[in-house]
Amino acid sequence: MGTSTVPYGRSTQKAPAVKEVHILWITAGLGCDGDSVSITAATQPSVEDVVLGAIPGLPKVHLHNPVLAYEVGDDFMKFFYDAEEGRLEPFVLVVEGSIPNENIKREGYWAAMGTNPDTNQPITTNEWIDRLTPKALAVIAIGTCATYGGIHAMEGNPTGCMGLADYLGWDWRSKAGLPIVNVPGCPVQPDNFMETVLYLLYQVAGLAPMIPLDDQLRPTWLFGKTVHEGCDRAGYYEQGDFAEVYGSPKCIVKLGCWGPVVNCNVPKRGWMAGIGGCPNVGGICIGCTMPGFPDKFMPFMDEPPGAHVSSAGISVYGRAIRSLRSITQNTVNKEPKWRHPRAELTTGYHPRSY
Amino acid sequence: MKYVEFMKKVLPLHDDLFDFFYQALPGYEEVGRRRILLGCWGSFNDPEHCDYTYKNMTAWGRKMFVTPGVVVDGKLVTTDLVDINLNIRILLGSSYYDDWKNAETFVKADPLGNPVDKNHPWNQTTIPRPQKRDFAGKYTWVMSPRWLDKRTGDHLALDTGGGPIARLWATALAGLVDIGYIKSTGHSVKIYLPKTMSKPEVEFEWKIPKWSNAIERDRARTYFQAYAAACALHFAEKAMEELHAGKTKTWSDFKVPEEAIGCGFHEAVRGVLSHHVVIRKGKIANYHPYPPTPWNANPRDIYGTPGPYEDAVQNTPIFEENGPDKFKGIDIMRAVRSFDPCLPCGVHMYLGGGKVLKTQHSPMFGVPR
Repeated sequence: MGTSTVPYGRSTQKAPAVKEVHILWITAGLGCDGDSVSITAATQPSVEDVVLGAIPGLPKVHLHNPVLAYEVGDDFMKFFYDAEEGRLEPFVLVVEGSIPNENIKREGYWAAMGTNPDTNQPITTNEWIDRLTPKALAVIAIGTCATYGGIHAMEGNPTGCMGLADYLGWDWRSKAGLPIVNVPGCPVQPDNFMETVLYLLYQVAGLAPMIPLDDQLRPTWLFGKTVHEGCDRAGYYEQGDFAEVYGSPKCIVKLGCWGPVVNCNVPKRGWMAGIGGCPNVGGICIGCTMPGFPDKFMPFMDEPPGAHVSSAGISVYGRAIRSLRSITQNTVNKEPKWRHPRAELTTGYHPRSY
Repeated sequence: MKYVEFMKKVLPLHDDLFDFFYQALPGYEEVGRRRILLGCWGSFNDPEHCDYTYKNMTAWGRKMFVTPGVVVDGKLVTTDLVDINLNIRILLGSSYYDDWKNAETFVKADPLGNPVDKNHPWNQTTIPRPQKRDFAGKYTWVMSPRWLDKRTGDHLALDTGGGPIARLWATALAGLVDIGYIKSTGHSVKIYLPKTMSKPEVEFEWKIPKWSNAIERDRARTYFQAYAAACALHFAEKAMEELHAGKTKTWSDFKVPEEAIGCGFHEAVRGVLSHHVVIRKGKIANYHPYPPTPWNANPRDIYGTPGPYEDAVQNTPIFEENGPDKFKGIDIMRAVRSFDPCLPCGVHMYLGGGKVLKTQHSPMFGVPR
């Protein structure tokens, strides 16, 4: 008999290249904290799985999110000051909420976290992003506000707000060479976000290659398919059988569903533990994961232009429909042009007081 | 039914816990206490009565399974949704906005012909003016919603008490709800829960408390969970009747009107929620939602009246025994959380130099010290 005391199965296990990682999470963009609340429903993995070390190979994770933290006040803020001064290494930065344009006005702040002891004025969210992003191993934008601007960034808005990549630049790279990782959704689908965090933690631990992202910086395995491609109503669509009223199990494109051109996996994945997900439970897709949201999808509840073409020409299969759709899909995958960090407000809002 | 059973277990447990606070820490009733100024906009419409018209709103509002109402100093001032609506005022004073005196008046009269104030949400125009924060001047983006008490002319800083305490208080005083599972008595609310897997039937009674304070807001939460569970049993029975009668339509057609005004009153979990909209040419010309947060978390208004959080924590006794070095502010946190469990993350303690006014130790469960 051998004398080895190492169990056979252990041979595939590796210790993480990094022992501990901090996740610093700023919810002080323009937003509702809805993404923080959403992810508490995640099960694949859950927040608890990640933080309590239930998953093999992960570094020890310390989560600092103002909605979920035990600490309050100075005890909570300490981690952010430490990170800024290089005393909290390594860390991943999560940004939640739309990034306002602080350069379009004379004074004051749109969004802030903490107080600057020298001026006694709030420290803007933008300043925190400027302080922390150069030191972060990776930066994740959570939810459609932080990724592309979202509802706050619609036409006519007074703050000139934008997505994180509009603010930092689409070519921005972290000190570890990672692009911004965008996980859109209003709010984010819980497991989509936690799975992305899990992937990045594996990457940080040296156990996964570079995260695959599309040109909108979304993880490809989550956002590579359309709502329609994963929808359990798609069979009705194929037969040209459309719901005219809500409460029907048929395809809801004519009620205003944008599913055919929206990149989102929610019909497949469901919402909590596989249950729910907008069209699965009768809700039209209004494109909440998309860079063009909400402007390019309004008015909600009207039949989308692309849907009409495709539902009329449903007898023509295959490539023809896909190419028609790809035109619409390209349009809704672009943000409106007023989401930018320049020191001018071009949303169509005309401020009288700043 | 599992939830019903769960409520039978946790409600008495919570009651014990809150009673224990009062016993163990005499004077704790002062934590988070403020004048009784509660608003509830009503919840759970009765489809037999609710037609969603403004004209009939007073009548169907009173048929709601949670009665709308304004409670001032323990007295029910109104249960009329039209009255509630017309007396809402949005004030400035400490917020980063210009006033809208010179902006458009969207709605001069409601559909019943009653005049609508310039500071009513239907007529609000939001004009942001970003500026330096000054705690003696302007210090927040939140405006100050108030309810005008016509009897006194006071702009009352109503709170929602986190939702449940206002809902139970208004419902208890109004005496309108009687559905078998719930009975409002005029001074309490009786909640009947039938037999479940391992527990016999039980009747709980929420009695109007002496104070509007942190403990009673929290206690009301557990009672309202039981209340909601009891309502759900009633609703499930009604739904089965509909289903068995073959009535399964869940949606009726609608058309967005060219010109219209609208409003909606409801309870979010944390309390009052209203919507006011003006539609012109089929589009939204003006829209203002007022969820619980601005009612509870607002600053001093133009008359110097503090919002509920400020009001509830100023001069509150501190029972925490940690010294300044280790001070956690647990009593302050508890007071703010009693209005809104989402808010402790937004509460940050700043300890000034301060001075000792009075030193007092609380009894420690009979342990001599």
